[in-house]
Amino acid sequence: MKMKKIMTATLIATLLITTAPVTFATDKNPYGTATVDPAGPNEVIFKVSKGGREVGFTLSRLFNMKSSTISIYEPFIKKRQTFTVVPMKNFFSLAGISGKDKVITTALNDYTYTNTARKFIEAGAFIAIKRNGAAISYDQGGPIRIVFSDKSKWATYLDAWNWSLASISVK
Amino acid sequence: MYRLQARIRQRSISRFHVTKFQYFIFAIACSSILALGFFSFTQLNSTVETEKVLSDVETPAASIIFTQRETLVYATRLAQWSNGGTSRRSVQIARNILAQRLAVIDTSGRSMGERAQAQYWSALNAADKIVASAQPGVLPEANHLEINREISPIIDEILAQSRALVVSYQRSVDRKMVDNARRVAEQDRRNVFLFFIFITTGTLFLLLNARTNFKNFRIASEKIEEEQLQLDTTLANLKAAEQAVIELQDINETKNAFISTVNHELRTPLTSIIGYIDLVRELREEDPSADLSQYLEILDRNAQILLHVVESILSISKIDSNKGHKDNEKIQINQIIDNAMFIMAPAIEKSSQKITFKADEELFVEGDPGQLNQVFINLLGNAHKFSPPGSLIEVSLNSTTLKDGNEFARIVVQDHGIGIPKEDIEYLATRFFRAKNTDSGQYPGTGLGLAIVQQILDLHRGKLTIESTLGEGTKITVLIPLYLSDYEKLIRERSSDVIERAIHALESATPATAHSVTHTIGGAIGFYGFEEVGQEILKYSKSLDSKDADLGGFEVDKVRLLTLLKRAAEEMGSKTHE
Repeated sequence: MKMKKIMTATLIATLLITTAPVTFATDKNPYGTATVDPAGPNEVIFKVSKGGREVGFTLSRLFNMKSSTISIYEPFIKKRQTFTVVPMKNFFSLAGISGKDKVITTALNDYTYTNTARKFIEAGAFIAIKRNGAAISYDQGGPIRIVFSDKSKWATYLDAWNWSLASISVK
Repeated sequence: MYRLQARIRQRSISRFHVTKFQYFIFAIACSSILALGFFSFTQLNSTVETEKVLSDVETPAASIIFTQRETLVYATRLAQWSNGGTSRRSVQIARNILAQRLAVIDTSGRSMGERAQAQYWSALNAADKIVASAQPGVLPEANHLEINREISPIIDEILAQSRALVVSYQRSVDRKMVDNARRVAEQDRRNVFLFFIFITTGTLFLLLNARTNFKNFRIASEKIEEEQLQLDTTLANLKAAEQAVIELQDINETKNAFISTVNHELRTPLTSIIGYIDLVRELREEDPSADLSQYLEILDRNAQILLHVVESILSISKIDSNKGHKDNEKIQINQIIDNAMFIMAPAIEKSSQKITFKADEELFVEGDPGQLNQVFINLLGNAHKFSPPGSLIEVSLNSTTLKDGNEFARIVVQDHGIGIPKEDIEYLATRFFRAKNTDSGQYPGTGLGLAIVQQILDLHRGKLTIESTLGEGTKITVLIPLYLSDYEKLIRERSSDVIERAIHALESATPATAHSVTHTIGGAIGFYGFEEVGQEILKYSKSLDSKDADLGGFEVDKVRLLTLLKRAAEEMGSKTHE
């Protein structure tokens, strides 16, 4: 009985979490007022693949990953912002991507940036999943984007800062 | 000397000065280089600005590219959506990504969104409104035409405005670039102008200075040369004065030696005479009938010696006092020798000596008959005095020509007497010098005879040569220049260079001047004593008399005639009858 209550409470909590409306940061983009239709339930927004192996990520799965918070100087809008990030190497591990693999990062608008996995790891690349504690809107480069710490050698190498990241694959 | 040059150099340097104009030029050069330095320094800021402009161009280039790209993606999604090719969500995402791109701030501190015109926003808003009013998901086919009709002009407007945005931005960038380039060009033009001023004025200043320095150097050089000349003159005068002092000292020493010697030479016979006079007086007092002839003979001999000494001294004094002066008469030297032999004949006969005189020809010399007579009396006197009784004295006369072409009367006096020691020969013409083997009572003499001979021959441009073998005899050779008329003198003077002038004239001759030149040369050198060569050249000249004469071979003939002339010149240089 007690076990049933616990399981019921857990299920409710999970449903609440997964169906709860996503909150966005208040720092709005002045040129992107158009709203975006919500994604479908359990819609995969991010894929990591190597050969025939593909790992898909929903937003909730991403939020559940072990993450950390870093404050960086965002070089496009030239402001200091706080991002919740997951190291990119964690995603490489999940898909079996090794250092010498040539990694293609592709955005929703089909922009791509390619380099070896080792270079990304050495540059300390992160996948940002939240900005200022809230989900990242599309007009802020969301829902996920690649960022680098201020100390990274790619901190000012803007080509590698891929916005609205859709997938990581191996060439 | 070095001190003098240094003084002059110092004077020249101290005379160096810069004119007011040169100061002015120098001031301009300095001002221009200072201004150039100042502007170059201040231009550093300009360089920073230029770098910023270039950076502004570089980053916006990416902004332009990506803005265009996102606009195209958005427009494509709109077109796809209106045809049912994609969902409304993908259009909204593309619109949001475009919004993100428009928010990017470039190095100029502005975003592309800030630069966009109102029409751009109107078009985007119109598109947003249509998209928002449609149902989510893929557009139903029934709505395609209507939405297409509405959205197509908006897409065109969005693309046109995007292009306009990019173009206007590019133009502003271009304007900045042009402005910057113009500013840099202006600065460069100013700097080039300043540099030109500096180079021009600097060069002018250096040229003016070089000119001044060169002028000063020339003045200094002239001064040095002038003073060097004065110095040389002074040195020459000093040397002359020094020489004069030495000569005066020599004369003084000679005079003292002369007085001393004369004193001795006069005193010796006089002492003897006085002594014998006293002796004669005493003998007469003791015995008035005593035979005194022996003492009188001694007195006579000493008186004769005394007379001879006095005459010799008078003779040499006369020559000294008339130094450089003599009567210049045309003299037959044969007669002079005959006269001397006639005067010496009694003494020679007394010693049973024989004298011969052999003359090949009658020769004339120019000179003083009295002095020349003295020469041969002295020479014959010596031959007689230093030869044993019964010996032969030979005198000969002929003419000779030396290597320099001058002709002389050559008189040789040969005796077979005691001879002269070899080491004494070079001193025989020294006054009062007597050879070692004559310096005794057996051969009385003053040591002035040959000195007088040498002095007289010097006055007559003559030469004296003495050859002797001790115990065998002495050969004295006298050379006296032959008499030349004024005409002969003139020819002799000019004949030396007539060949040279002829060679020069012939070398310069051309076929056109060949006739006249060879005519002149032939006549001239024939006149001056080169008869054979002159006739040969005249013969050639005559061969050219005809108007039809062949002048084609003149160069060959010229070489032949030049060879003749050069050979004549060589012969003239080495001609001798010895």
